[in-house]
Amino acid sequence: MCEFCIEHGQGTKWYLQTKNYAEELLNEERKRYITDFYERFEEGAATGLAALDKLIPADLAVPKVGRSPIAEGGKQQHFGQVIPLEDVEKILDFTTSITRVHCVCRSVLHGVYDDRYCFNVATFKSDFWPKGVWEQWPDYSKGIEILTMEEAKKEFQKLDRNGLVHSVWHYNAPFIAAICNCAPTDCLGFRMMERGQRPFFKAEYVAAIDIEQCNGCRDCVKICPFGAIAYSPASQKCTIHQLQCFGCGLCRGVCALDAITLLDRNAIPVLAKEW
Amino acid sequence: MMQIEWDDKKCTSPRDCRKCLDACPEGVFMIYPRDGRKPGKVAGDWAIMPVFLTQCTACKICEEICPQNALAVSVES
Repeated sequence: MCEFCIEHGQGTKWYLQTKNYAEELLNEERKRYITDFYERFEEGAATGLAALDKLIPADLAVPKVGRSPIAEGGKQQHFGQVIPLEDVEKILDFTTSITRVHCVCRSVLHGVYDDRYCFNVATFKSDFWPKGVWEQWPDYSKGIEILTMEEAKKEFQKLDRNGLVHSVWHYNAPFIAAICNCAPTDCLGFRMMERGQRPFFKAEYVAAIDIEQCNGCRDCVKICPFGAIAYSPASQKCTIHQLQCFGCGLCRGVCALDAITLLDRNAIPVLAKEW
Repeated sequence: MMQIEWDDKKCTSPRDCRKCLDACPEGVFMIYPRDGRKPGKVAGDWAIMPVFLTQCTACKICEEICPQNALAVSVES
């Protein structure tokens, strides 16, 4: 179990606990935090990452994958966890408000405003979240879109096939209010990871290939955002490096032979400590 | 670390030109609103700036592609 599961999930998955989505958690302090977070997003992105650059001189020659350290400082403010599609669907089953909004990371890194990859979820109706927050800024708010559970599930299936990693995010632990769909090139979380500060936990799962089934097509290699899968010309099979796997499940989605399954990370002694 | 000298006055709005942002293979640039964000106001005055300098390899693709000659890349010894 990740730290949040122990602390906020009574030993089960913290992001499947409705209490972590409760309206009572949205107090004045959190409202201020959320407003400030988006109002100063560009500034925070620039100064935050620039500060990391000064702290940790990134050596570009060092491979940027594998056991990246957790950004301890961000754990209480804004932190996430990778989750596979079936857990996204479980969340969508109990949330009552699903709003698709544009992605602030992509706007900062690519100047793209119409890509709506971010899903704000809530179990309550509120003037503040998410509508009230986004409506403060007309250029943010023009892209907001309210979805039904069925529509949202369809969109997530598409995103999964397109190789986007799903993750839940809290705004001051443990209040969960968003599900992101990230790609390494477009995400400030991945940028932080390249600088040795990862603002999200790996999933409660790890992917495994049934080698008898694998025909070496390499579709999984192509889609893995974490560079965790390799093809061996000798065996003509693909293998997943377990320490590099984040358990997002995207490889499983593209495997035409259903050769990939997700295992429980917590049942594997070394990986159970690998977040 | 590499240095990118960048002339904010020469740089046009990313709505008109975003060649450096799209061309950089390492994602060194980001866009930002010059006046910041204010409630009820569209953040209109956007600009591009080089931020992620540890990722810069000094390949100078941005310098060559900038139509305004607003960028100069140098290697810091």
